[in-house]
Amino acid sequence: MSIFPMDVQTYDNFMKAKMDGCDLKTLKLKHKQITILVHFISYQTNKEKLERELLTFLTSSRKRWTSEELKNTAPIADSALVTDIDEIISKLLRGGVSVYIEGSPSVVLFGMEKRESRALEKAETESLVLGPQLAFTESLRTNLNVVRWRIHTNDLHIEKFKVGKRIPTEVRLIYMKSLANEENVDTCRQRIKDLEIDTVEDTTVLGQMLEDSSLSIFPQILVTELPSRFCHSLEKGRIGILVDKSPTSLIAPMSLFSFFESTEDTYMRWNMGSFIRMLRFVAMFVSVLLTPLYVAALSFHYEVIPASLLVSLGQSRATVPFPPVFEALLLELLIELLREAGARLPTKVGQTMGIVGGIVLGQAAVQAGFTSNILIIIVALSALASFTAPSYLMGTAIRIIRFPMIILAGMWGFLGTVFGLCFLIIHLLKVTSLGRPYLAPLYPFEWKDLNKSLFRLPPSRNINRPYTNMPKDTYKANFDKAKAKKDVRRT
Amino acid sequence: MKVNVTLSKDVKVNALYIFFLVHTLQVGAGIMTAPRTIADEVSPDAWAALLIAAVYVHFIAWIIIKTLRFYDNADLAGIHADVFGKWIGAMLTLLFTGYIFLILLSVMMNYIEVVQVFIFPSLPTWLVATFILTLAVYGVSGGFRVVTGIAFLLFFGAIWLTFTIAEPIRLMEWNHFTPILQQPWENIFRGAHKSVYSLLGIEVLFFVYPYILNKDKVGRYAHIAIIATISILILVTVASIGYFSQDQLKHTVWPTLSMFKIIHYTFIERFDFVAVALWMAVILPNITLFLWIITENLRRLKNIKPMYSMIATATFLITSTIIIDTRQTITRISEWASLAGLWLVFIYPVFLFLVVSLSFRFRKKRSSS
Repeated sequence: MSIFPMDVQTYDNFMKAKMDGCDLKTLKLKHKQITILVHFISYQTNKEKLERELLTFLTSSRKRWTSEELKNTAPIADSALVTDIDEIISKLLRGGVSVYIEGSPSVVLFGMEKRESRALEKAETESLVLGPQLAFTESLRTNLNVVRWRIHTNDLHIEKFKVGKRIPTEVRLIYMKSLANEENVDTCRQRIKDLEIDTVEDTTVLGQMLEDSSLSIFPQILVTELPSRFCHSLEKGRIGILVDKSPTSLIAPMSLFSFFESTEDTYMRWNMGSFIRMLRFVAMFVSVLLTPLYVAALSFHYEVIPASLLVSLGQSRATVPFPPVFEALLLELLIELLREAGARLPTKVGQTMGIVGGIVLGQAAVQAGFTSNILIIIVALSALASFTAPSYLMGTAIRIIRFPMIILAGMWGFLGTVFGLCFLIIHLLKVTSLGRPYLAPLYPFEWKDLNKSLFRLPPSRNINRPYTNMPKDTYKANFDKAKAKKDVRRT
Repeated sequence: MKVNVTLSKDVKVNALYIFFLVHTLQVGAGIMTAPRTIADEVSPDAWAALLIAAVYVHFIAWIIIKTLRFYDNADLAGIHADVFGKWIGAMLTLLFTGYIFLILLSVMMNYIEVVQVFIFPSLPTWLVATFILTLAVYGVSGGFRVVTGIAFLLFFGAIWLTFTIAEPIRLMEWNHFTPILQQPWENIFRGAHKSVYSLLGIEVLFFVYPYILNKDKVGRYAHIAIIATISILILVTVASIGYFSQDQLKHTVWPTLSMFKIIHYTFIERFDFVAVALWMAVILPNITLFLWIITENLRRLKNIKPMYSMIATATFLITSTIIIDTRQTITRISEWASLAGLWLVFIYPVFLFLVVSLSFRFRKKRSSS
C-alpha cells in the first residue's frame, strides 16, 4: 500500500517531523504549475553536483515532470523510484537527494553523497621494504576500488551485508569464487548473519566477534592494512572481509604460521625469503623462551651455566637485591611501558622518549643495582624479537605469553618452563580458525605445504596453492616450459 | 553396545599418526631404566635379547591388526562385547582399563621420582602430578585429534635427545660386549622378558583403530613404529653397556638419564637438567593417550561423559600419588604393571585372535547352512 500520491505540503511536514534534528533542507520549486519538493542534508550531499546536474536539469526542462520521467532522463547514475518512507530517510541520511513531484505515485531518490576521506597512503603498521606500499583507507568504496583494481576478474565475488541494528554498517565478504572453499565461505557468511549487535565499530571488532575462540590469546583472523596482502590471501583461497569506516581488512582462515608470513617473503628471492621467514620463527622462540630460561637457570639450576659464564653472571648480579623472577618481571614491564608510551605519544615525541627512556632507565637501573646488565641484554633481545612478527596482534600475543612463562620459570625452573611450553602446544592444537586446524600444515601434517609456511622454494617448485586452505583448485602454475631457461641468440 | 564405532570423518586421523601414537607410547618411562634391567640378565648380549623381543612384538602387532580386521570399525570394547557377550566382555574391557590405569600411574610416578632425584628434591609429588594431569586433561578435552597432535608434536620435541647419545658412544668400551653370544639361551629369553615394560604400548591399536581413516596402512605404520622403538632401545642399551662398567650399571637406577650427565656444550654445563625437564615431553603423550583410552573405554561401556570420567580419573590419580610415597611401592606398581602388561598385551591378543576367528568361522558356517 503506497501512501503516495500525497499533498505536497503534507509530505513536507511529514518529512520534517520524521527527520526532526537531522538538518533537513527543503527546496520548493515551481515548474509548469507543478510543485517539486527537493529534500537533502546540506553537508552530506555534493552541493555542486546537486546544483549543476539536478536543479538545473529540473528547472530548464520544458516537460511536465513525473517521477518516472525524471528517473529515466536525469543524467545521474544512482537513481531509484521509492515509496518506502524508511528507505527514503536512510538514503537521505547517507547523502541522498529525494525529489517529490506533485501528484506522482513515488519519490525519486538520487545518490549524491559527499564523503570526506583521506587519500591513499603508505602503510604504517605493516611497513615493507620491497613491494607495494599502499594501505587501505577508511572509505569502503576506495578499498573496494583498490581490491577490484588488483583483481580485475569476474571471479572475485563480493557479498554485501549490513551488520548492526542501531547503526547499520556495510560489510563485504570477498573471495575468489573458483578458489575459496565453499564450507569456509558458508561458515563466514553464517557467522556474519548470526550477529545481532548494535553496530560494528571497526574491522578488528568484527574480527573478534567472528573468531572461533575468544578465550585464546592467539588471534585467529588476520588483520591487515595491506591491499597486496589481502589480495595475495584471496588468491590462495582464503576469504577476506572489509568493513566500512575501517582502514583494515580481515583474512580467514589463518594458521599460526601464516601470521609469520610477510608478503615481502614472496617479493624477495626464495632463498632470502626462506631465511628471513625462518629467522622470524627463531625470533618467536627466543622471545617466548629466553627470559624464562634465564630466570629458571639463575633461580634453580646454577649447575647448568658453564663456569666461565657463571663468573660474569655472578659479578653482574652481585649487587642486585631481588630474586631473578622479580628482576625479570620488572624489566619486562619496563619494556612494555616504553612500547605503550611510544605508541600513544605523537611520533616525534615518541621516538625521543623511546630512546631516552630506554637508555636512561636501563643504564640507571643497572647503576643503581636494580638489575644486571646481562638481563637487560636478554630482555631487550626478546622484546626486539617479538617485534619481528609481521602481524601486530601476533607480536602482542607473544609478548603477553612471556609473562606467565617467566612466572612459571621463577616458580618451578625448567620444569615450569616445559610445562608452559607443553601447555602452549596443546592450546595451539585445540585452537581453530573457521573450524580449520590452527597448526596446519604442521598438524595435520601436510608435507607439500611446508614450503609455503615454514620456508619457500624456487618458483618452479612452487606450483601448488596451499592445501590447508582447501582451495577448489590447487594447481597454480606450470613451469614445464619455463624451467629450461633458453637463451635467445641471433647468429 | 554397538560393536562398531560410528564416527564422523572430522574426528578421524590419517594412518600416518599410528606411527607416532605407537612409538611415543612405547618410549616412555620404561626406556629410562631398561638398559639396567635388561643388562642385569644378559649384559654382553642384551642386543640379542632385544631382537628376540622385537620379533615377538611385531608378531603381536600383526595379530592385533588381524583381529581388528575382522570388523569394520570396532575397538576392543566392541570386540569383547561381540565375542564374549555383554557381561563378560565388559569385565574384560574393565580389566584392560584397570591395567591402563595402573601403567599410567606407574609411568607418572617414575617420572616424578626422576624429577625429584635429578632437579627438585623437595618438590611435592602431588604438585608434579597435578602439572602433568592438568596438561593431560586439557589435551584430552580436545578429543582424539588433539591427543594425536600431542603425540605427533612432542615426538619431534623429544626425538633429538637421541642424537646426544653420540657422546657416550664415543666413550664406549668395546670389550664390554665380549664374549658374543656366550650367554645361555634362558638368560637371553629372560632379558627379552625384562624388556617387556619398555615395549608395552602396542595395545593402543585396539583403542585407536576406529579413529583411523585409511585402515589398510595401519599395519605398515605400526611395524615402522616398533622398528623405531626397538632401534632406540637397542641404541640406548648398547650405549649404556659400553659406557658403564658392569657393576656401575647395576647400581645406576636410570642409566639413560645418567648418560646425559657427561654431555655438555659451551653454553650448557649439565645437560641432564635440561633432559629431565624435557622428558616431560616424552611422558606427556603417554599420559594423555592413556587418559584418553580410559575415558574412551568408559564412554563405550557405560556412556559416561568424557569430561566426568577424565576429571574423576585425574583426581583419583593425584590422591594415589599422595598415598604412594616410597620407592618400594613405585617399584612394586611398575612390576605389577609389567606383569599385567605381559599377560594382557603379549599373551592375551593371541587368545583373543583365536576366539574371534573361531567365532567368525562358526557364524559363517551357520549362515551358509
